[in-house]
Amino acid sequence: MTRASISSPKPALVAAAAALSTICLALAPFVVREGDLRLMIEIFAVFTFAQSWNFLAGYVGLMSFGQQLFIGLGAYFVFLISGKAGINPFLLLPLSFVFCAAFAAVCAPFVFRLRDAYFAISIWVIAEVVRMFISQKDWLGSVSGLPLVATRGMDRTVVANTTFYFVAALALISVFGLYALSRSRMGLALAAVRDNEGSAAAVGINVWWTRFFGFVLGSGLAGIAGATYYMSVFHVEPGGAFDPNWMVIMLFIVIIGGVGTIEGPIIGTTIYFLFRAWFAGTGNLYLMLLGAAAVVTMLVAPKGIWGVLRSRLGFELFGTRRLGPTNHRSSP
Amino acid sequence: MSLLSVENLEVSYGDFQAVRGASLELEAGQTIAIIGANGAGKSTLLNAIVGLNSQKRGTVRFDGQDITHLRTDRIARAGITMVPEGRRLFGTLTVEDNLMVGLAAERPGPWTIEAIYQLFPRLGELRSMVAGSLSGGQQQMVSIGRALMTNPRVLLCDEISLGLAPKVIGDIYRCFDAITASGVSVVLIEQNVVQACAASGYVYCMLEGRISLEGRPQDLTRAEITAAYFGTEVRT
Repeated sequence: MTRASISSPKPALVAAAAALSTICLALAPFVVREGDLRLMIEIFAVFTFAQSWNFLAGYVGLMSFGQQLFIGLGAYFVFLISGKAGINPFLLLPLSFVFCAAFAAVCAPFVFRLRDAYFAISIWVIAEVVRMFISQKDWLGSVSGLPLVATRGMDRTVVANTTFYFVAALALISVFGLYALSRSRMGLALAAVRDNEGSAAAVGINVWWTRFFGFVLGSGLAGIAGATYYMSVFHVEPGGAFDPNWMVIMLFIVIIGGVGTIEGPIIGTTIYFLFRAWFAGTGNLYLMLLGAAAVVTMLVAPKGIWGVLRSRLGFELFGTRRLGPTNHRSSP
Repeated sequence: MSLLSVENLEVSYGDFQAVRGASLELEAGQTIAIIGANGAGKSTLLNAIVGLNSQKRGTVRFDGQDITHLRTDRIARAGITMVPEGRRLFGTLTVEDNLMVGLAAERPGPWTIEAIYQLFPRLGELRSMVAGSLSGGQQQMVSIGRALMTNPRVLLCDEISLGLAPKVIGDIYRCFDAITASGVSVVLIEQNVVQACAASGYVYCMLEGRISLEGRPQDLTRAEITAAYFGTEVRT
């Protein structure tokens, strides 16, 4: 049974939750062991990757299969500039958002001419082109990649904690920032364009710019998360940074959890890391299990685990009022 | 000078020419109707006026300005919006959010959320429902409400009675008195000739992409309309 009406908590409650989780995350480096902190960095980075794709697919209505492009671009931006110019890489992290957003902005006029599957693949193609370009340039480290030299003189704990704070901030932004955005007028315009672009235009929404804004924002978010993630592993190489496997992980998390919801990728990320902890030792079987879980979810619950829970409970944690897409282009 | 005038508009889909030189005039405060059979080019004409169809020739003037090649959202901001055929709601959004989207046109005026709920009290009760879950008649009210939220000067309605029960059609058409009283000029597209003639002060009949007949409803005979509608000869 699907309920047509869904209740959700007041924005003040969500703001309180945001404040509480910010405090918890601020204290985390003081109570968590270094090894666990490292795992948390990875979890939050992967969560932000997933949330950036979820934003594009579920809120903007742009299905991309090339989100790894921005993960790699963000990482290379920080590694290259900090290495060559000797700039503190943490200062470059916010700029990696700007760089990836600008890259997306330059691509947009071209890729927006394509629709649906062609659009999805076009960004994957760009990711492959960039990966091959980097692999052939010695000044970019070619296939063996670049080390993070700029943090070598810094204190180990300071580096780990600062990286953690960056990635924790990204995770918070991709929950509460997305919540705030989707409740704003821009969020309403994005949802309208996603649901029916003709109707959106007919009431005065600039469809192209609305979609452009979403694409640039989602790409920048993946970029800064990618840069932060690779700073935590101190090394980036093109095969890993532009690996389509990142895309597979994002798809898995968002499909399992529920596309177009804030809660979905939280559930999806949890399930993904539990799966990995339990089955990673089983080699190829682990990948088959991931695939099987995604297929079963799509067959049994196309709206993901959160989609089912939401309609059963008639309740959502982050009441954006704009429910996820069922079909983002309604038929005539 | 007319508020909206369409001169010799031709619209094509690839090789197929759906509208072959149609002209019409809408005066401020007037309600006109465009009638015609399926495929006569009525919807194509309407879509072309609001810029949803780019392959076109001819001129569309609004308030003296040439808007033929303006983008759809600019036309909406200038004051022309439409209630599209099949309603085309934002299906995943609530009733209230569907209406709120109309604020994007940034045109202040008499039509606010409260005014829409006064016009369609049922929508007030359904405000937090997901639009996709409503009945056809309720969805049509949302679609009209959403268009009115842009405070248009011209409202283009594409077959609002399509697929609705006669009682619901009556309820919806009764609301047009309030809409026109607020100063909105209306273009109705209808297949239902009786409904169209009752609701409008001037009727255009389209046949195979052309205007085959026009006039005030009281001046047109049933035989003339039938002939213009189906393309048969008038038997006298």
